Amino acid sequence: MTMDWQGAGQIEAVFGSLIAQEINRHTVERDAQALPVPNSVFSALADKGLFRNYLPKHYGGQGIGIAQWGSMLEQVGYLSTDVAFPFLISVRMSFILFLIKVGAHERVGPSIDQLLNGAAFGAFAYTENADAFSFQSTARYDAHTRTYVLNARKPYVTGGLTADLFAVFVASDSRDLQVFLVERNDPGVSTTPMQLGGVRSLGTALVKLDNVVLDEQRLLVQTDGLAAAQRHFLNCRRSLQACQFLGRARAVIEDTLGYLQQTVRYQTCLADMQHVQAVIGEMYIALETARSAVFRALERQDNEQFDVDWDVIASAAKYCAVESINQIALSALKLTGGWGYTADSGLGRAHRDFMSLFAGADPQEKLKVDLGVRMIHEFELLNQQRKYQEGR
Amino acid sequence: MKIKLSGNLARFVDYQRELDIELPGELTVNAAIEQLVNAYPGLHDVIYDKQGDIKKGYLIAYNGKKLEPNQRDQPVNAQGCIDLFTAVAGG
Ligand SMILES: Cc1cc2nc3c(=O)[nH]c(=O)nc-3n(C[C@H](O)[C@H](O)[C@H](O)COP(=O)(O)OP(=O)(O)OC[C@H]3O[C@@H](n4cnc5c(N)ncnc54)[C@H](O)[C@@H]3O)c2cc1C
Repeated sequence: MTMDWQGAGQIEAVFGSLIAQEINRHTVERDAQALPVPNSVFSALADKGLFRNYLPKHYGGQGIGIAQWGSMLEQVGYLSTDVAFPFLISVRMSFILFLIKVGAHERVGPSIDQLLNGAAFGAFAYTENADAFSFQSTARYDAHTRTYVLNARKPYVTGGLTADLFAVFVASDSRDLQVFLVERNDPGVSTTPMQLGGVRSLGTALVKLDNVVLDEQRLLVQTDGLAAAQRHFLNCRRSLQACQFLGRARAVIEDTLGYLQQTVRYQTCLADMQHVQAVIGEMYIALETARSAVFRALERQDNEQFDVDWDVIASAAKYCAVESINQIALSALKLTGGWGYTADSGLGRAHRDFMSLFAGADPQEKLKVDLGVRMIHEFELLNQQRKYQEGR
Repeated sequence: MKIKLSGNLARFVDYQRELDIELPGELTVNAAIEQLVNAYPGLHDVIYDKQGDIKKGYLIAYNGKKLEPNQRDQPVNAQGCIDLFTAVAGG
């Protein structure tokens, strides 16, 4: 695929009016009141076949690669003033793929059909305010009734308020995770809204499981669930998560230009001032550098050059993209004076939204540490190789 | 022989980065890792899954060369070094 920006015409032709009517008209209100994007919008997208694009061919989908899917999300991000909308599309789709990867077809097939048809939606309940070796959630097996009893507290579940199904990662009796399919209607499941600083229409929830009794058939991953989380949720999504933000960042640059071209100071249009042009140049460089990194990471995923457990390129790409989009939002605010700071400009909201990925998809500071450790480790291995070759 | 562990495993081995393991005789990489786990039982559930296989996501190297899971039955010697590195977990 070509990663040069071709405009968002492909998405606009099919989904443009839906985005304009159902998303953009409500962006300000949803942000102010933290109202989740309703499921009806995603059902309408499902009707138009959105989720089948990135669905594998053996499941009746089009089987486009992750890079092309990322490009679609980027276009939705560009068209939609609410970036939480493509963020949710991405999570809902990843949930479908997660079930396909980890669940036996006879167990998860009916759920997948519902998810594809927009009759139900899924969310990931992984994080626990703890590192992965210190999760407190529990799953107790009762061999007599062949059921599990789950207890867990899962904050930050994207789309949790509006989800029907949850993939819940629970600490097992050994130092590992198991993964269960939990339904919203299972007795003992509750969701509480979490108010975030940005992406406020995500419907982010604290999901609580209090003595939730599940038939053993709901166990999706029995052992080595941490690796399943890494492979099929965290690592494979790390650079994908940036795509919708890249589209929105482009729109932010364009909105900034729109203002600069209409604004005259000292008898000169702001867009004709050389310093302003240089800052626009910097924003453009930041955007295209981030896109190069992200789409390279996604193409490596398509070409199976990707480390399924922890890919350094995808992690570096996520880091780079998040720094870039935040630089773009800040520059936009710096270039546009009082107007930029009004609620109407949407630039302040974009900045709040963009900051969500400082923590989400692995915190930036942690990525730096992890990448540094990895580089040092590779260097140590090289030294060891040399040492043992010389010693022979 | 030496076994080196990545930082996030340190707490299971009393915060040592590098351990010396006695080899009772001719051992493979897999068996040397078992020796390590015998010496530090807290590592057992961290390294092995319920089937007793080394979990996916571990990078294992011998004398600086990364080993695929099917290469871990190669012999090691007392002067060698095994390196155990975890893929990093985070949301
Ligand atoms: C918008 C958004 C959406 C999310 N969606 C979901 C979801 O759908 N499902 C889900 O399960 N979770 C979700 N999360 C949670 C997300 O995965 C976590 O917030 C993230 O993994 C960070 O975990 P934490 O909040 O516990 O922060 P911590 O891991 O505690 O990190 C806090 C800070 O501590 C420092 N730090 C932590 N560990 C290290 C380290 N090893 N080395 C150096 N510094 C370190 C870093 O500076 C980091 O910024 C979401 C979060 C956000 C913001």
